[in-house]
Amino acid sequence: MTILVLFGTLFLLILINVPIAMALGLSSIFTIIFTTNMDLSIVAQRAFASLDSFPIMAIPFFMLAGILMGKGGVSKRLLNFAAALVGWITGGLAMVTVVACMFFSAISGSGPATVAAIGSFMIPEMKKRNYGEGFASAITAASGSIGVIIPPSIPFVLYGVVASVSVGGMFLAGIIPGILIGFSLLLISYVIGKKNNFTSDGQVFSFKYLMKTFWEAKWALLIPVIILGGIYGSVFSPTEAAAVAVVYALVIGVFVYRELNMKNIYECFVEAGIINGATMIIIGLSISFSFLMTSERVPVTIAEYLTDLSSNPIFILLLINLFLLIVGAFIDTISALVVLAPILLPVVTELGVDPMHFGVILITNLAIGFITPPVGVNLFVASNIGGTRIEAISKAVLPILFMLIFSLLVITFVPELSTFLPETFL
Amino acid sequence: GDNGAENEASGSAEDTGETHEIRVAHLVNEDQSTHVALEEFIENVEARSDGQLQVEAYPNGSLYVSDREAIEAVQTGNLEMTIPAVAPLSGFNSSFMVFDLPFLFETKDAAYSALDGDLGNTLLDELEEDNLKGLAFAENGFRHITNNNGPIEDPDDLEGMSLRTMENPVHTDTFQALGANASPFAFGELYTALQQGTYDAMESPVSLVYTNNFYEVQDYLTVSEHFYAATILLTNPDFFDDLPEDLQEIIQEEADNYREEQRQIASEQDEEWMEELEDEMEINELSEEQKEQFIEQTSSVYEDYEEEIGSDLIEMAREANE
Amino acid sequence: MSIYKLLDRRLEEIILVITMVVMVVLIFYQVLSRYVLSNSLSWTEEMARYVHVWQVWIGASFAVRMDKHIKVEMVKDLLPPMYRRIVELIALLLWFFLAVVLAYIGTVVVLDMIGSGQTSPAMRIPMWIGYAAVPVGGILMSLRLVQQIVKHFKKPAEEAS
Ligand code: NA
Ligand code: NA
Repeated sequence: MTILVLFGTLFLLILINVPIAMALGLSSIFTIIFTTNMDLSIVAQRAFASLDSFPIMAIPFFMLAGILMGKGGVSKRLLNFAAALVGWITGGLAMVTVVACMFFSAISGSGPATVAAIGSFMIPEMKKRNYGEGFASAITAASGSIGVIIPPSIPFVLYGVVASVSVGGMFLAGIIPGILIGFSLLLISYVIGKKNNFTSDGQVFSFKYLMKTFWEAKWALLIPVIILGGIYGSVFSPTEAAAVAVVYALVIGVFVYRELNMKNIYECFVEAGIINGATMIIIGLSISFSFLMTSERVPVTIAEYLTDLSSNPIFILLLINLFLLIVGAFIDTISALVVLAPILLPVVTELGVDPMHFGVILITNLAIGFITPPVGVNLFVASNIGGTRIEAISKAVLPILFMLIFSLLVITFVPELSTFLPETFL
Repeated sequence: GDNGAENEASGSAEDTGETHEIRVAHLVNEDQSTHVALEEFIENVEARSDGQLQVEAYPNGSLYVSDREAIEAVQTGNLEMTIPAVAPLSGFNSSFMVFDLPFLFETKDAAYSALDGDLGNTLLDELEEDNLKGLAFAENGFRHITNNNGPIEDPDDLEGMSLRTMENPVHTDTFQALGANASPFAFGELYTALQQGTYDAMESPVSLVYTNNFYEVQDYLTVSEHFYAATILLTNPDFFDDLPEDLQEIIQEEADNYREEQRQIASEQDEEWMEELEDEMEINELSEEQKEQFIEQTSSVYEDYEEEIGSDLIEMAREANE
Repeated sequence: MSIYKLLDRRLEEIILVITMVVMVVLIFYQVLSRYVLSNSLSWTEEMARYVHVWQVWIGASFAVRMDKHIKVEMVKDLLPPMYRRIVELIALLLWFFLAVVLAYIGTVVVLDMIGSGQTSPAMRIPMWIGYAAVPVGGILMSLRLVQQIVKHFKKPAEEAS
């Protein structure tokens, strides 16, 4: 009953044009009032507590840094360089987005933050060059989900803790699958680019032009070096790196490229604030929804049902993948992970699946969940940054989604992709 | 009640009496003593109440991701029970800051006698005014220092080292007094921060070092026993008082059993896991003289907080060491 | 600029800019202090987090005015203009209901918290100061939604397509 009310009202409200954040909040409130004897105050408490988080603050910072880089002339130069590098290939700008996101993933533990950082300059650029607003936002949202697979990754740390698996091992386990997903996205970019004739206006590869754009972009190219170097050189955490990126973007925009002034800096801050509010409020209100699911033991029931069904490991893994994809469509990654990992892990280890391998499967699924509607944080971030309507992205994301699910199957059935590095180095 | 879960539960209860659902949320994983003992508590409570009490555990922070939030939920009646560390309780009642003081208890037995005696009772009485009822004090045990630079034998070894503390001013001040560059940092990011060297050092109970794999990113463990970390089985007083008296009695008695059981398992685990950690880290113990230097250098913390905590409470705690 | 116009255009905007500046400064300072000054403050992170919660709720309110909330328009757009207007109004009214509920329960939580005297872990400031973001955001959002509902009635039906 509770679940019926929870999901029924959610879908109905979303369909009649209530913002997704509000639909999550309203369905939680209706469910609490009509089917439980809980106190409504819990919605307000969770709305505060879920946002009272340090890692989450990386998102507004990377959003702001991205917007400042966009207005401050950084993205222009970076894009010229990127275009010189791979822009001449069919679907090149999408490929640049994928590679940039992979690169960025190595500094960010968060999918949405990766989308925010790369998307704020790549989506407008792709739109300008007729990639279609839906595809532009969709490929960025998809590339951003690599952010939680290539280390560092907040969900991997959580999995290691929850499942008592080596976190260091999990980080190593994510590297090859992350690169694999990156290559699959490059492939789909090429295929879609070929089909839609995303060519490069007769642009050809020129080494001289490459060097010229490289030199012009040197300050911008230093950004990932500073952030990456800062994190791996043990100077700061991702959230701190994001704040440093803001300061760096300001300095470059004001003093080097001289394209930022008080007026457009103010506008950048306002824009980042609004996008952050519209995005984060989803997290604030979805938490009550996840909470109701957890306290009603919905995921547990589903997991129990799954194992009663068959004892064939391949069949069960396929079913679990299907189940996780559905869960990932509705619930935020962190809640899903914390609830499901301890339930599903014993089931699969009994079937002989390596715990690290399962962690990668689990988080790849939930990373795909970042881009499956209705609750796909990366879609929301991309939608807000690109000013693209969510259904346009949802449509364009479908072929990409198929590609990711194909990668997921490869990751599922070739355990060595996940276990090779940790077994070699640990 | 008209709640679905309660109806379901009443079907299995042999008694005709009303069933009561108790959700217990906590942060640690299922292997840790807090949860192991909780499972036994649940079994006993359910059996002794003939199913009138239905207890469901939510480990791993699956219901509430922080102790502060879970305590607040119990206080406002949104959750029936939680087992937080006592440190976050000081935000709800500043008397609990007494446990934040460094080197307060010399041995676990001293801590037990204080917690189960006058000090504990005084604090439990005070809690009732905050709409919280403490049923029993259990433990996470003593906290120790881990780091990547070398064994800590002297406060000078901490000089300038960046050290992560809990978000607790007394803890931060303690390590600042020892010369470390101490600051709080989000627990969820701590592993990465230690791995990447954002922080050189941290301080935590043995169980956390072991179950959260911190030994992978920390080379040295110093058995400093600088803080004794108690936990507390908390419930909502209105919820508790509304229960029939026989059920109240069952819960209180089983909470007392929980306390004994949990402390024993915790001590066994500390010993067992410390042995395992010996293969992974270099472990050093502080001699009496070495420890004395740490105590001396942190005495300023007592002076700074004496007024806020109350010298009578501090005195009560210190007496347990005699 | 009239007072109404000033409140309508600038109030939330200025709060957004200030909160963002404060967050960046606090976290940037946190990095600097750890290395350059080698003396960290224990409360920078907590303060930045609370300021961020405020930013989110104020930003969510301003996002109503700027039409930045994420919605699914697909089904609504299939409807004939008359029904579309009705659906839009229902959605706005439901949203308004949520904002009022958030303002109300948020206020209850804040009052409870003032009563219980809970303080924050690091700064030891009253905890309600952080939580107050929820009712304040709820109230501002309610006002913004009244504004949107009025706009909805002023807008001629044909323009709605
Ligand atoms: Na990453
Ligand atoms: Na999703």
